[in-house]
Amino acid sequence: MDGALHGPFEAPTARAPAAPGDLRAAPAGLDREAFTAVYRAELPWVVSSLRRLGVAAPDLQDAAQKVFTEVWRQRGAYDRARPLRPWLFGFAYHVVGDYLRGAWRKRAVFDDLDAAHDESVSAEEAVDAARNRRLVIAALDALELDRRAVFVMSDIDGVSAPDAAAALGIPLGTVYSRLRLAREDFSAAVKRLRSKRGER
Amino acid sequence: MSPQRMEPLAPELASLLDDERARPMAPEVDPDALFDALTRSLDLGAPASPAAHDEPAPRPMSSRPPTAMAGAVARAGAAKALGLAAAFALGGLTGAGAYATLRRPERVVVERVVRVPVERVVRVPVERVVEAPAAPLARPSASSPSAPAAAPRPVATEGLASPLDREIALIDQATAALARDNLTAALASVREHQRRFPDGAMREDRERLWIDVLARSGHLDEARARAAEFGRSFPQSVYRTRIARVLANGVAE
Repeated sequence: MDGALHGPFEAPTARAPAAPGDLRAAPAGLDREAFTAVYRAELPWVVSSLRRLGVAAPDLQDAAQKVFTEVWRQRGAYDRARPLRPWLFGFAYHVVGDYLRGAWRKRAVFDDLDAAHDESVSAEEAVDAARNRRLVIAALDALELDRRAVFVMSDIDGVSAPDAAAALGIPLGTVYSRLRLAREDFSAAVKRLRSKRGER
Repeated sequence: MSPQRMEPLAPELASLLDDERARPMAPEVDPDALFDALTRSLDLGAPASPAAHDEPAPRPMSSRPPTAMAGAVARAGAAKALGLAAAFALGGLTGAGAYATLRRPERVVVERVVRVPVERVVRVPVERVVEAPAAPLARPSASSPSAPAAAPRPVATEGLASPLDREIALIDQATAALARDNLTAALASVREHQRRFPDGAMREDRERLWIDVLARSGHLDEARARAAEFGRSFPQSVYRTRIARVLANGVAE
């Protein structure tokens, strides 16, 4: 091994944003103002993460509320020395775990999968960003949650492997293993979906 | 740990993910309504509105004190919330791990989606065949599996792209063998991993698997010794509880 880095762990925090400026003033954890700042800055990202992990669009608001409820309850445990998003992602991951077990889902996940699996999409339309996002979500749906979470953290959010391991409570080696398998699953799913759509 | 090498994503997939990273806010989520709901349920006090945080924020109904009694109730609620948070903090709980133990009972189940596990087939290019270990483990007869363990399959990883991929393939092979109750094959894989990657990225996983194999094959003294070394090497490992159970039961979960 030559020490060179490649792939999502090349720059561990390059795409992971720093905590909002409000947090730097917080003495420890998250006070009310810092919590509000986190909510304001990170709600869109939390919602996107929930969607990527498998929450159906009609359930996103409830899921986001659960995430921020737990963030508030455990605000004293936030370590400002660590990046914020992996910490938030840990809450999202467990909320989605409950969701996929049917603990509180209000609607079947298939509600909006018809759109996600729309096979009428042409090759030309596939270059459209919105279509691509549908394709990504549909392909992610083929992944088990454990692998999906690692894939979303590392390959979409650019979280470093150590931070992903800490956020998910798994060994570092397991992060690498799950990421490798998730990439295989994701790539195969994309090919399968494109084949169904008559694309290359 | 030395830096790890992971193959980059194919450019085509990376482009897809670029679009996904630019995903706009879902229209199904109303930030203001959600924040109001959080304010009510969490007793946040008088928060600054996330939508207009630079302007004076209207006080939420839950903390507006029209009477002295109402104000006292609001303060008591805030104190309760802070006390709860302090309890969490004092418990030393963090992030997702803490959430798993603290979440409340959830609401009504309306629909259920059943996911059927599908066996996954992995094709590994075979370029080299490693000989079987000289001394297969003998399982105590009382806990013998229904069928004798098959001979260990070749560990063929040389064609894989990177050392990390080869490590992962060996660990995956050991895990699969253990799941099939093929302890001899599992042992062969972990020994091979130790020989080729003594300080590899998957060392923690290898040692956990090794302890499983030893315990399940009845070599409990050896398993305990290895577990003690594991505890020294990985004092924060998430596998420690599992290993303790394995040693207590002599059976992997």
